[in-house]
Amino acid sequence: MKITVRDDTRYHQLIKGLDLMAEHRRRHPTTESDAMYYRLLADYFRNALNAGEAGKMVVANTVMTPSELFYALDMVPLHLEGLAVISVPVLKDSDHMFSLAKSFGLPPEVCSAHRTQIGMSLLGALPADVVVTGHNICDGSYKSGDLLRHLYDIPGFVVDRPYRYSDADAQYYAGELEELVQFLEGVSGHKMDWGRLAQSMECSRRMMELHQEIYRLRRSVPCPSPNRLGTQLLFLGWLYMGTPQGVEFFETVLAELQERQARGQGYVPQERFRLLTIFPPPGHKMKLLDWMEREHGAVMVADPYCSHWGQFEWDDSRPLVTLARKWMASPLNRQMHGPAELGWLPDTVEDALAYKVQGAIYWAHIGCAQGCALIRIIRDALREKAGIPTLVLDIDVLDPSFVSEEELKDKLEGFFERLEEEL
Amino acid sequence: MVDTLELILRHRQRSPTTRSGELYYEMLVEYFRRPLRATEEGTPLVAHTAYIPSEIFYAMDLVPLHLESFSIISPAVLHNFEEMSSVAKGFGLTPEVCSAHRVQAAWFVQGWLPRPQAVVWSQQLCDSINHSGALLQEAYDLPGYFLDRPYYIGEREVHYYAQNLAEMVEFLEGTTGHRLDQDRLCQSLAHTYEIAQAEREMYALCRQVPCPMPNRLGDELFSICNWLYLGTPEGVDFARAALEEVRGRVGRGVVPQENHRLISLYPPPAFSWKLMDWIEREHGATIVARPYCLHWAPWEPDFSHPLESLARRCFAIPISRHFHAPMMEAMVPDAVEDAIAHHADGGLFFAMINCRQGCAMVRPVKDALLQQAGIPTVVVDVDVLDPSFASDDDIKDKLESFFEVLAERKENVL
Ligand code: SF4
Ligand code: SF4
Repeated sequence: MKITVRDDTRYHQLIKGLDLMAEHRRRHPTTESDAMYYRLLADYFRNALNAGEAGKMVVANTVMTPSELFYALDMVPLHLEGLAVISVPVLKDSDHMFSLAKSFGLPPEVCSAHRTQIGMSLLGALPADVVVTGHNICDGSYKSGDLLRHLYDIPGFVVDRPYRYSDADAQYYAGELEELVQFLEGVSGHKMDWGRLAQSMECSRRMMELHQEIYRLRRSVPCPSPNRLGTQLLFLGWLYMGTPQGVEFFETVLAELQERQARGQGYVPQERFRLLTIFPPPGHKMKLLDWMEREHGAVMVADPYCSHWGQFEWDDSRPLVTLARKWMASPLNRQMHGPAELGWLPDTVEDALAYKVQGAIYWAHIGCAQGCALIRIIRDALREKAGIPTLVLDIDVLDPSFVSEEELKDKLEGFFERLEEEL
Repeated sequence: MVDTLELILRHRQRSPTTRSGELYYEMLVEYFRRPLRATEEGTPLVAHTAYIPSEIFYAMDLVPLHLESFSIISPAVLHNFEEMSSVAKGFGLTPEVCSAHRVQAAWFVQGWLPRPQAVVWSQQLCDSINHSGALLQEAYDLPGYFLDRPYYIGEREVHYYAQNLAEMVEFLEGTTGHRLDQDRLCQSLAHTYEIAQAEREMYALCRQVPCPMPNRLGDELFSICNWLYLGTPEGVDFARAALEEVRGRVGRGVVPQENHRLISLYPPPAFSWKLMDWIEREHGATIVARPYCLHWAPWEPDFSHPLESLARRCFAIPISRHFHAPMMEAMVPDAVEDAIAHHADGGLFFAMINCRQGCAMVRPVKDALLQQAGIPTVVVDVDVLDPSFASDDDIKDKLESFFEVLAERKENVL
């Protein structure tokens, strides 16, 4: 089966939906960064759509493939998981995506992020010219990328990220990036612009520093950040890593947090519970996060899975090695792909203690073998080493029919009561 | 589990079928008895996931315990999948997670596995395995090593992988006190080569009409030779016995009348291998090709560089080479090549419902078989470990309709 007709109707609808959301935020302002967030989302996806007119190629890429290289080669990235995760809640068409994927042979047991990607591919809805795939989070990405390449009959490359973080592993990964550059030079006809790569990496370095600073500020009591922030930073980081727009967004967020902190204010008037969260919340129920802070003063202060960076040495004279190290140390990547005892586990316990949290919420995305395998180990570690309980909420990050908002609220309220008693 | 396997073996001995059929159960019993003995005798036991090269264990005189085999065989033998599944659920593993990993986790949590001295794991089938190894490490408080196999095969990748193998050896030497014996490693590589050659010959013989290999034998070879006894003299014995039997059936086949020649694309449900006998006996349907079990890429041992040679072997062995590689470079072309060369007239894809690796390949393989080999494929949704997902009867119904389609196609051609 090949997709010979591209149909960008759904893609246009997504941009329209995001534009409307940005407009709504502009008219009902909450924070500057929040309005900026939706505008940047719309711009990102618009860029991919307009790339052809600008004579640029679109690189569809799976999560955590180094976007700095795409910018340096004057190509336009299109983040597949980002698109799946954002488009379904905006267009509210998960059923349609899942039924397309089912007819293609993917049963409901397969992660909905991947089923959505396949659904979008089958619709011909992706403006992709080439695919770059990695398995930085899970090997579902390999297969989704492979399928897109096959369905659209376009060239593709797989970046193989090692499991560990040693020097030899970073060298190996840098070798992969070197081969990726050669491959992209071949398909695009552009030569690598190392000066541009340096600029993009400078932006990445700045974004990383800002992200670390933002995360540090969230330790403050009361916490100056809204519950949605962790996920927003994660998404914007995915989409805009290595760009001035990404830097601007992170700077805006930092300034807002600093201002609140300087006034001694938290984001909510009364902070009652400080929570650590593990794994992304359901993308279709972000209002649940607002409800938690508004109705219960429950603030998500720590989210190591998407905010805790690893340590590494930044060396401008070896850009590909540095890029390799940076991506291996970046949050989510470091926690999901590497050994749990080197990343996910110690980061979670460390942050639980440093952020003075009273409880943890594990968003257990049901189709995710990666995310669910460690539930018990992390829950035990949090109880034994940080003395806090963990609420495990079974959800599907993209399927709103899996569990209702009411059920989730009931469970959360029960958990808050328990925390209240313990306090 | 060992006791029940012994009962099955005794039954086989009382009603003998083939030498390989008997050997199969003998070797299973022996394989799973060894970890119990190892614990008593003080020989280090090392638990490992699929495709960790067992040649290393034999060359270091360690007793291996293959975790996926264990989790696939145990619920089929003990009929306790439901219990295992609910233990895993209590541990946070939902039914959407691959059942092989849920069963493994349940054994770990219950503390039912003989205590290994170390665990070695790898992502050579899928990355669900990444966390299974970590779970065992945590549950038993064990030292562990993750063996990182690159995705592509190329010189840089082989070199990197050989380095990882060297690190794994170092890790095992440090934790068990046993040294790697280079001569034994070479011997073990020679055994692996002999197994690979026997499998290649048998697979080539399956091109004959009628097919001389019984349906079960392919999966038995996979289990015994590719998983449990690779690199051992026992594995060689099994491969030789199987080869003799297959050679002996050339010209006469395994069924009186071969009606359908099938290419199988994923392992059948572990709880019902009898299904494979049933399609053979009742429908004259023989599995003439199974690339995931028997399609080796070219490989020959190089005794002057044993670790590097072992690394190359790991890229060549079936299923690992199909699952941990771009599907358009291994699974799809191998399936098409084998369907044509083996004169298959239908494809059989047991789609393991919670396996994102297997399910993602369903459509590209099915399309390629139709377009390039001109044959239809039946996709049977199963959970290879959970009989409640699709019963024997459901599967039989689906297969019978498919055989009707195949018969009609044949009539139309004639
Ligand atoms: S949710 Fe899990 S299975 Fe799905 S894309 Fe993310 S890591 Fe992979
Ligand atoms: S069935 Fe699929 S998910 Fe399960 S172990 Fe095998 S490859 Fe992994």
